[in-house]
Amino acid sequence: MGEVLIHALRGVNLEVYPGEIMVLLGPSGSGKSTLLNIMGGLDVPSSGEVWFGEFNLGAADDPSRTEYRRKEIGFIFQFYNLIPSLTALENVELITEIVQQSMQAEEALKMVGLEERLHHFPSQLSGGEQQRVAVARAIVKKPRLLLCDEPTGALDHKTGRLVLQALKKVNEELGTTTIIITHNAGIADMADRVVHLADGKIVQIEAKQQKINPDQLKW
Amino acid sequence: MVKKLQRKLIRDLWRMKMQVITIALVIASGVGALVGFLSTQDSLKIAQTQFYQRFRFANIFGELSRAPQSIAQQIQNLPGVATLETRISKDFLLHLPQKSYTAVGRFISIPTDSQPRLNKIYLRSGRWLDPETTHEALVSEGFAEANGFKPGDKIAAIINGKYQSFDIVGIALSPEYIYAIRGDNPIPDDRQYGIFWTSQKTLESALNMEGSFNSFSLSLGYGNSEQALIDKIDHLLLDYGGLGAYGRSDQVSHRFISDEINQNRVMAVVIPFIFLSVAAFLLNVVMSRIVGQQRSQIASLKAVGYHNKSISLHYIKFVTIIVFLGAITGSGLGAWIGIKFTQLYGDYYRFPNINYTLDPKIVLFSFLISLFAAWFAIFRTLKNIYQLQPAEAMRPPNPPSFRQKSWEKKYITSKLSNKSKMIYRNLTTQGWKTSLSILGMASALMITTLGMFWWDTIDFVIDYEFFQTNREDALVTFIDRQETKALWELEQYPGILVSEGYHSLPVRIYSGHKKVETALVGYPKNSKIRFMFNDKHQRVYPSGEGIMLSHLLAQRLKLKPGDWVHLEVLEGKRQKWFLPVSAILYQWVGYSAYIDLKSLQNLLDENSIRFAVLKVDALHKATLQEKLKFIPKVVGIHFKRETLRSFKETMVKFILVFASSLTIFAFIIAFGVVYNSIRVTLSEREWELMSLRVMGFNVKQVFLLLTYEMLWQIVIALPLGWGLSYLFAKLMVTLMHTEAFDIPLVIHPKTFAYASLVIIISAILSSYYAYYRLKKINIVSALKIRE
Repeated sequence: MGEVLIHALRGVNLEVYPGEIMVLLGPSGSGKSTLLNIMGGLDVPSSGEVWFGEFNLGAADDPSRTEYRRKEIGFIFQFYNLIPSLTALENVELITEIVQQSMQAEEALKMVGLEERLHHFPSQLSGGEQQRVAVARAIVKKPRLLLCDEPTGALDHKTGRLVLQALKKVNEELGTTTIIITHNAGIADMADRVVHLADGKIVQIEAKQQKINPDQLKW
Repeated sequence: MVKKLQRKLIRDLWRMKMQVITIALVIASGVGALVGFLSTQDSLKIAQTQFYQRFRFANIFGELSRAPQSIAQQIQNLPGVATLETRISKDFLLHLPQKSYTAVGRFISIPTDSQPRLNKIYLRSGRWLDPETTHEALVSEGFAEANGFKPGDKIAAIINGKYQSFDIVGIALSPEYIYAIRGDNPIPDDRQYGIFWTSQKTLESALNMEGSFNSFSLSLGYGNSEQALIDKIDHLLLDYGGLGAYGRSDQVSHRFISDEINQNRVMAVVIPFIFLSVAAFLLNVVMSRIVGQQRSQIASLKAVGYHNKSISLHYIKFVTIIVFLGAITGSGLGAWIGIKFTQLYGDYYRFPNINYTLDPKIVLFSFLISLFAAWFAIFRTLKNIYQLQPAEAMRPPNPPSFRQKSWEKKYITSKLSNKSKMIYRNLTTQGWKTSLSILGMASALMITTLGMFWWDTIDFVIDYEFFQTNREDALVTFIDRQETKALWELEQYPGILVSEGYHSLPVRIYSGHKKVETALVGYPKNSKIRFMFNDKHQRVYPSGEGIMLSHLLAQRLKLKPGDWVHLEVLEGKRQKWFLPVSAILYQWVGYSAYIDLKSLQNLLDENSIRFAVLKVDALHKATLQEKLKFIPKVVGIHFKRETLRSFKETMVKFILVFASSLTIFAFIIAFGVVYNSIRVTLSEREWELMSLRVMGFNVKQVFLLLTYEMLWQIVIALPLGWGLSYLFAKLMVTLMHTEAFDIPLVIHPKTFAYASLVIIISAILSSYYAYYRLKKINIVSALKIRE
């Protein structure tokens, strides 16, 4: 068997506006994770350009992309990716140690409603709590862009809503541009814009006139 | 179904090839050591047994002043004596005009018309003695080789102050002198000591011993008691200057070979034990990690209907293949070690032939031992497989559980940065794994030390024996007891700075029902040349009629200062004395007893000495040596420099092979342990480390996090390794200790430093690998795979 070259994304042209909540919607294999990874500086496109303000992300080398992630980007993953050997507070503090400007770790945890669980290790927290720690960890450095890859994928509805509420709160209070990947159409209703992807192409960009509060969301 | 699992097995092995190779190499080291030492021991034992049987090595030996042949008949008639062989045996100085050293030959009479009935001679080259002539000799192979003699050459001995020339007609070996050393000197020196077999007639006329003998050996009839016969012979030879008959266990050559075989056995147990334990540890770590990582695969296999048994079998096959690879490599390595050691022994012990033999049973045995260790190592892992529920694996694994005790928070973690907290908690929470990894590194350090500390020990023994205790430049042995004025005559020769006369008597010391034959040395009270020390390294002086015993002799006879012992002089008037033990001396080799020279002379009622020790002006050494040879009273001259040289040569050869093979093993093990532990940590925590990379940590920061963890393990492993080294070195010298040979335990800080360096270098190499890998890992794909 020869190797087949597969393009995860083709001819994608997308502009993200400051302060908006954007949902990337599409079935698996549609290229939404690749798009997110490129925007987060985890991956580079084989052709085309990616700009973050004045910064040419598409042409950046590994150290400058690391620097970019450190300063500008907050990541949230489906499986939380917390450091198991650190408590909730310490997980968040770990970030404050490597960035220059940040809020207090306690403050970030308070924003996601975890001020009572500061000294618990990940293994002592529920899935939703762990994901909210991940949110606090992502926002503590006041990133300009928050990238969330299936943030509710491993959670039930109730805890999923709590996490989405936390994301909305952050967006409103800090003005953080937020991009959420999901294959869950229900979540799209909390977004300013929804980008539909299929087979590595943007098939539709839908601007929502009315955003629904996460606690009203159904999926 | 099974075929698919086999394919997975091959792919898993291939994917983890570096780990498979390093573990297999550690197993190979263990198997290599086991096969090497056991097969060497076997080869040595076979060569010894064959030589003894085919050349009729005697059971009992004895020396005396002289006795007529009628006494031989009486010995022959004693119950239990199967065959008796009498002979004349005497040491003479040899004349080697081209050499810078002096040599002594032991001349032994043999029949000219046939082989002796016991201790037969193996003729390597040349021919048997001609019955018609009296100036022919067969020479021991070691001496001939070391000094370049071959059949047809001539050699002169100085007998009663006169040259007597001998034609060397053959090069020979004897089961009695496989290891040719002078009784009191444990270091063989083929250059300075040789055995000469010549006709009865020659020695009879040289020593005026017509119709007499002064040495005998005999074989014991089946089912007879050796000790009972020895007692009867001693009684019979009481009036003929009998020096006490002795069995094989006290026959010098036999005793040394048997000790050597015994020491090989110690090596064959201790070293492979350590190696295979380390291999088992590595397998345990690696297998539990593989199973941990493949838990969802295992659960899926269970879900689709694979049985626990076939899944377990899959992992058992995995380790068995590693063991197999290790055992095959190890057997080859072991055969190589065995061949090298057997060759070395061949230079050292003179057998007609010593063939390396490798019994397949040894290979099978070591394979089974390693297999057992490996299966034992994965026992817990297999239990996990059985306990895993198929549904459980479909869920993402819970994060590893961490807990914090209040004291830890108060005294430790509150003072640490978050990165340090990660390191601290990873090390302490996974205590079992951390301890094993530390223990593995400490073992590697220990193995290096075990290979290298012999140099320190030898240095110590050399310094102690040759520079602290015996400070003379030369030792001159007289042919018999001499008046003290012999010393005065000696002093007339130019170049002698200081000289001291000593006495030496063959005695038998009794304590309870134990007895030991040894030499009682009369020692000048305030000697300026020979110093005696106790175990605290304080100088000890003889006092009154008290005797001082070497600690090995005191141990054998269970004596302590203040005890009284019966002594029987085994020559002359055969006096019997009852004397107190005044001190125990620290000496590494042999049984020695000392007494104040003056007191001994009073007890003997004669003003005599037996040997002299000299401090010599280096400028006069060569001329002095030549002149001393011709003093009729002198039978042996030994310059310390020569003795020291031969000691070093013999020891260095052995230790070099031994130490270098252990050091290679240690490198393999150190690298195997360190590499595997960093490799396992890396793949277990890849997800966590890559998450950090996503959050903006750069490669260096993540790498440091990983290496600090290893650094801490090394910081603990080093002192632990030093402690373990000391304990196992102690165990090794204790196991190797024989009744007549004690090995002091000396490990210099330098040796610990070298051994530590081995660990540090392995760590640096492994870290380099980790850095390279961290740099290469694709963050996106590493985060995608949750396995």
